[in-house]
Amino acid sequence: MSRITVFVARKIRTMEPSLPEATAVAVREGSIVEVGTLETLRPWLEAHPHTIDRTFEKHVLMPGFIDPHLHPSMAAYLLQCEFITAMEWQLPDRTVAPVRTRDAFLARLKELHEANPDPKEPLFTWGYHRDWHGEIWLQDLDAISRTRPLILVHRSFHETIVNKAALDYFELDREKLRGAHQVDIDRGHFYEAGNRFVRAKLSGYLLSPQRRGPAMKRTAEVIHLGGHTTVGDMAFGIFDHEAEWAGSVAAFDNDDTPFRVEFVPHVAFAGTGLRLEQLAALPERNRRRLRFGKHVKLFTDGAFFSQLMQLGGPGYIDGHDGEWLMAPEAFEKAARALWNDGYVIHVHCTGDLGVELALDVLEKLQWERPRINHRFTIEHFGISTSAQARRIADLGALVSANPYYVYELSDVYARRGVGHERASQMVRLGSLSRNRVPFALHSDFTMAPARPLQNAWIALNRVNAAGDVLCPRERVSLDEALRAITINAAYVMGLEHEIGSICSGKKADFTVLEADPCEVAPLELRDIPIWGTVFEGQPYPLGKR
Amino acid sequence: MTSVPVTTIGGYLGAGKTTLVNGLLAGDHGLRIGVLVNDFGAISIDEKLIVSRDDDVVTLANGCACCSVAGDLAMALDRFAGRADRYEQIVIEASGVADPARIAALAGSPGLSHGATVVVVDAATVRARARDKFVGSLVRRQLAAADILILSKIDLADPAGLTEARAFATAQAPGARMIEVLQGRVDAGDLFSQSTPRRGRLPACTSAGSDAASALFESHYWSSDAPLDIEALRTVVAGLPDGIVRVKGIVATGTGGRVALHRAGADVSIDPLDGSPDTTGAEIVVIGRAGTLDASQLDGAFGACLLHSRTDS
Repeated sequence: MSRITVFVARKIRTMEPSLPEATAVAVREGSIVEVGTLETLRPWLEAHPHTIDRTFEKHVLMPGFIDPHLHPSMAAYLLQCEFITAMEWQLPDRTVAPVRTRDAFLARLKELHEANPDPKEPLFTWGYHRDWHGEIWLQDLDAISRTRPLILVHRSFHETIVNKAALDYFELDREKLRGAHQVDIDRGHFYEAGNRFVRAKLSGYLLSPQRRGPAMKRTAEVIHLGGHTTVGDMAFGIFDHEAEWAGSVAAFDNDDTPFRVEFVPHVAFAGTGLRLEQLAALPERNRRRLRFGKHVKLFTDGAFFSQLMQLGGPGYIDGHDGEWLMAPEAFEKAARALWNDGYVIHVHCTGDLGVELALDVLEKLQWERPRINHRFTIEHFGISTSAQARRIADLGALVSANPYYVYELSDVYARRGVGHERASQMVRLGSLSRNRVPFALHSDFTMAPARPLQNAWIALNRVNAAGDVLCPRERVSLDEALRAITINAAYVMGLEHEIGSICSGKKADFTVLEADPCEVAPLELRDIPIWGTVFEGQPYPLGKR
Repeated sequence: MTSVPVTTIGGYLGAGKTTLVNGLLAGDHGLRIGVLVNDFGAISIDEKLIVSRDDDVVTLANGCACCSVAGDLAMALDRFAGRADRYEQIVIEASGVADPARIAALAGSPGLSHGATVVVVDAATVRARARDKFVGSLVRRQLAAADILILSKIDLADPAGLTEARAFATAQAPGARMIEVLQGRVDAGDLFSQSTPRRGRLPACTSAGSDAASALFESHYWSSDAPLDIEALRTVVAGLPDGIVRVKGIVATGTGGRVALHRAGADVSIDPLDGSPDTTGAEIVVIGRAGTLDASQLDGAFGACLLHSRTDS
């Protein structure tokens, strides 16, 4: 047996209702031996050799944060871009300040260009959005550089704007592309379907073997920065499952990685994703940090950031329609096969009609073949109704929500989208709380910053980027917000016996904070500095990897 | 370089798009058609007809080729467009939940041009689908995008339902040409003809080609309150002209039983039905190629099989 290490802290917030506060936690071989005080730990310490570690004497320990839904493979692309965004983003090497005017955007772009004006190195930026940054076209980019390729990747990833140098560098033939659908070649603009012409070239460049590896390393840094010790890859196989697996093994399967990844396969019965018969063998690949459980991912409606969620009446202000990502019958067929095979089903649902479809099918499946403790989980939970919150409770389902929608989109969607009532009530966590539905919070990174404390802050305050408080009745308590990034996130992943709280027998995963979330003002929760993490007993300070 | 027209085949899940595609791939139409399919697994290609497979493209003996969309339709279309000199026609099988108008817009790419938007409509279920809380608006949007409506599964709809489906689809896509098919059999020339008007360019309220005369098939319904002489019926049905592609019916016999009547092609089958009869008479549907059905002749022939005189057919 190895020595016991005892971490002494100013405060340990265990997230265990039976023993919510402690000051010392004994760890051996990656697991917690006991939590309490140096006094209560004495029987263990008298019986076994041990070391008292006072590194965290002035810090507060929480269970390692868990984000049950993000996409590490997509992040590798994004993290090679410079961020010029309307929202603040924290990155491993810097905090990106919000840029919210056209002039400020162009000034920032010029600054980035001049900081390293290597004409051979294309400069990629991400975060451009017309609502904030006005119209910027090829001519504006040419005014910054005629020789260096400049590429603006839109916040939604659905649009790209490039300068002439980029057209030449990526061999985009102006004459051939003139007049192509959703391409305005004279303004360097590629959007929606037209975006494919440039996306194919950019992907080839950004995801080349020599660039992909370092980018995955940066993804690991971002995950660490948020204070996570467990994340869910909530659509494994969405592009190419073998490439994604190989990329994850290369980047994460080593002792530099302070977190584990729980892979939830994207199941499809046609097209992309994994087939039912491919699922059973996946857990055979499990390693210490990379694991498959018996969880699967399905989809109902379209993307929330693109206003393609399916809405029930009265729909969108402009009358457009949302999208189904799977035909409702195909969704039902897939869900039934998985349900009957005992899988925990996670369903991407962004609009209330998407939620309705998931719940209708769940109710049918419960009627056909009842299952207790099935943990059917609604993922994202953008627009919903209070009646659905109650029905989720009735059916024993769970929710993994993306509260960042409230922060970034509530203001815009109230004006141009769905109107104030529904926009202000998006991600109705208060309704879930009143109906006693367990819920977790996630980032869906790269859709939102992978910062659990910021997500808890949004759930607690419902303050949006414009500074308005949105629907105070849908706020939740601090305890609920913190549970949603720890023990309830573990519960959604089916891992509450292993992680999510600090108690005897669980993994020694901690997030080390510089202040106590229960002592700071609610509006300061997101600003608590993170020292780093402890993963299976091993401290990983931030910025020293 | 001349551009290759792109025809989009849309329609809701299960409407019969894949059956139609299978028909095009196997058809003896003399056209080199490149088809982008949604789900390769659903395509039934006779192995003997496959000439080659490369880059996920399967080439067939009749000059057609088939390629799976596998995720990104636009990217797959570009790969195909790069080989456009090999094809006279490109066909995209849209996903069952796609808006065909959005898919058709992808033809605005170098080397391609717009062909017709073909929407396959399940005659038996279209009205129910168009009212469905989840897909109603999608199904109506799909119909509205059509230059050509293919009314499929007409043998599965009851005659009144078929009439209503026809009227409903026409109302959703005024001006679209309507073709009615059995087993996905459609004349390739009807889909790709250069004269097919694209509805976007038609003046409002034009009903070019949507009249019954352009339909490939038509049907006739006959019923009676009285049982029939089964052997006489067999002779009548077997003797119907070649243009008749399908006959089906439920018929009471003189001995208190019931039989199911089927004719597919030239084969006639008459099989006893179990259970207590809920009819004392007969209901028969006859489907044939347009112009081959003589309603009064059919009425006379079936009437002659009656065992009792009190018919009100």
